[in-house]
Amino acid sequence: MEEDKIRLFELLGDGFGEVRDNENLMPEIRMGMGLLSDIYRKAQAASDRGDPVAWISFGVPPEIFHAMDIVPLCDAMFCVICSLPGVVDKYIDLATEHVPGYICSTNKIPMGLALSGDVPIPTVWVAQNAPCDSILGVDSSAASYFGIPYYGIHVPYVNSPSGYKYTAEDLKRLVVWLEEQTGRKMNFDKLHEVMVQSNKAHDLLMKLREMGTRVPSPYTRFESAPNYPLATQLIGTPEFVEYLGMSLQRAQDRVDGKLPYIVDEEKLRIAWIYAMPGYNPELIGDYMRDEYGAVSLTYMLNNMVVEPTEDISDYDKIMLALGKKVANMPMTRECRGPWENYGDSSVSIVKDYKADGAIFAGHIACKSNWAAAKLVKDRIWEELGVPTLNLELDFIDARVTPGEDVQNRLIDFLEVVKRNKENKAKKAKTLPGKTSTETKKP
Amino acid sequence: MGALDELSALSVELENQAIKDWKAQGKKVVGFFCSYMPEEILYAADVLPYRVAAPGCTSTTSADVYLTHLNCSFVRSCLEYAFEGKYDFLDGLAFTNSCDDIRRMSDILRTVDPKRLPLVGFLDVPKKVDDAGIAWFRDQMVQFKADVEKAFGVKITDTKLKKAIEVYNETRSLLKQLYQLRKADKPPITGAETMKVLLAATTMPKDQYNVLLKKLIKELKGRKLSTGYRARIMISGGGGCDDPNYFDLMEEQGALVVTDTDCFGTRYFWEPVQIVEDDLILGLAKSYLGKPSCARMMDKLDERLDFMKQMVKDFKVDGIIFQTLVNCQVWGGQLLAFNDQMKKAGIPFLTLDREYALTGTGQLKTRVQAFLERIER
Repeated sequence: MEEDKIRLFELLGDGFGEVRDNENLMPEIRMGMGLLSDIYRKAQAASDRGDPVAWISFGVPPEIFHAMDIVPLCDAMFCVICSLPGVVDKYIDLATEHVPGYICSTNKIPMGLALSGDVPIPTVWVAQNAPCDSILGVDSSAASYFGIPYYGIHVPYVNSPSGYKYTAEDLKRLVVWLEEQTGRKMNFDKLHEVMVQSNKAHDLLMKLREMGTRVPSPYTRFESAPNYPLATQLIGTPEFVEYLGMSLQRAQDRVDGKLPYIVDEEKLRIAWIYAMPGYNPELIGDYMRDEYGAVSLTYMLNNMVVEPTEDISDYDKIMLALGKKVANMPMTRECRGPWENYGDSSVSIVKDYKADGAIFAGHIACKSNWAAAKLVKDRIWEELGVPTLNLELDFIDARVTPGEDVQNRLIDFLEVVKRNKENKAKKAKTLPGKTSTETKKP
Repeated sequence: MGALDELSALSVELENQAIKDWKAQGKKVVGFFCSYMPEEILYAADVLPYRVAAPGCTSTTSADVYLTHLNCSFVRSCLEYAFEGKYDFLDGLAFTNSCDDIRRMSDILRTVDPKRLPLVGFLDVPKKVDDAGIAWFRDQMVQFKADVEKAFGVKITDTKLKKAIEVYNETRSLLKQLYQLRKADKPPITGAETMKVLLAATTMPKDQYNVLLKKLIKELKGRKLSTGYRARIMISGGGGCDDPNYFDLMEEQGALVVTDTDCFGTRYFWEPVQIVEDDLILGLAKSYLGKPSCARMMDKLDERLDFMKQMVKDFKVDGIIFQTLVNCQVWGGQLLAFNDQMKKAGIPFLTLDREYALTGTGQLKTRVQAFLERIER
């Protein structure tokens, strides 16, 4: 019956809306989750009105869609439903009736959502070839099955000026295609305004990253939790800029002693060089903090190092900037191309954040990342003397590696990190000329 | 010895006699992994392109230091053999960004043991096919040609490249003739035998191969298979399906594999390379991107489905066995559309997830038997 039908976007809107209204939570979290609530409410409302909604994959620039009055929803970010207890399994299982179990759950969830009828089918689906094969395999197939017009963007294997130009030209063709599919027109003035907001956001994200590297860190993974889901969908909007501005101010307030730090006395600084489990946060993050004084500083998806675009004076320059940005957004930057991209990014995170330990929480479907994990782990140790935990899980589906199992692995690892840090300190005292990488490999 | 026996013998060993003879002349051999590799460029440099496989690999202990059970068993097997030195007869490797696992194998080999199998070149094959993609791929090939010239101190002239394309086009034409014979109600060659013929194509000089293939086609015209069959089968799906024993197993149950849409089969040779006189590389780029596609091509799903349906019709196929290697997300991810479209077209469709090594044969046989019972004539 129609009245019994689940309207999942409304549920998400309500769920995240409750977080916004929860006065016991930090303002950053409340506002971030409130924006997520707005995203899903807006998408549902647009669908109800018959306005265009686009499902976009990781890294597809939302700026284009905002400039064309098309609502962009990052399909991979539907994984945020794992924060609603017991909801996500249904959609993963529904998709697994049609595709093998080893397909990425972030791709199975949109498929499952569409199969369930619990969300409106989008007007168009825009994917890019990065970060992984799963997107290539699933998105075109699901779009075909549901009769959704589909556009694929190709981002070249390595970063280069010619590659940025190639992607920029593809983005221009995407705009023409979107105009044909949706009837919405690209307006340069609107695009320019969106890019102004996008630049402000990237500038703030860089400042927040810098802030997060301080010791103690006034801006950790905890406060920045909503950033990636928001950046993949809201970048180019003033509300995202407002959220980031408020986050930066509160981080500064911590530095100035006006607000407390998340971890008062940082005993261990931990950087997550890939994803973090989206489930059981109390078992993972809180436990680390309470039992070990360990602070989770950041994770790869939040490592936004895209510089604002200097020149947005004409359409070609904007598209070139977006072509470059596509290649340098988290995930696309690390997972595509040679492994050194991942290695460079991971080393930079661990080094800049002055981390004592790194955790590669390897999503089981990320074949390319798992194939680079050993190389990255060795490099972090050789260059920085910092141990890395390679931990196998599905960061959405708790059935793969339950929270208790993750916690047990973390306990063992944090002991290693603790010992390594103590050994380094001892050696620094007794052998003042020696480098930290000469400690024994754990 | 008949041509089929000669070709079959060449498909058995990693370093077969044809390669030994080639190397005895002081010539080089370069390994590659994907049908999007423009072999003609290597061949024009008098370098033998060799498609790497790992037949008989049953353990991946060394490879799994760098890869895991989450990675494709074909790639793990090839990496294992590389670490074990079984490809040491190769003078280098050339890679494409075919899929996540293959590109990472390139990373691991050049990082961990760069001298053992030097990287000759790496081609960024676009994942969509349009004019910009063709231009991009052309530029990649130009760079690859320069890399090959530098690696082996040779000059690839247009004359040599055109000759290489002609030799390869003859192979394509002959293989197509071979497949035409399989359209018959009583084909003269089994699927397992055809797989051996195809394997030989990827591991020996094409001019010699063409001689043997012509001989084979002539011999097959008088040949009749001694056994009947229950159903005509097409094999579809991803790479790594290079084991004739896999075909044997299906045919022992009463299937007759009459065609395929695999990258060792029709996707390798179905369309000739266009000869663009003033820009031979452009012709290569257009043709390689225009051939029946792998699922890595994000904008070619409809064409893939059309090609499959056309092959079913042309080869009077009773059912498709769609095999993918476990963890192959490009092909596995396509199944929603493939199952749906084949159902709508009334084409029986069996999906088999498998590992590279032929394991779990009991279960495999049961599933094939059940499928044949459903569709047999």
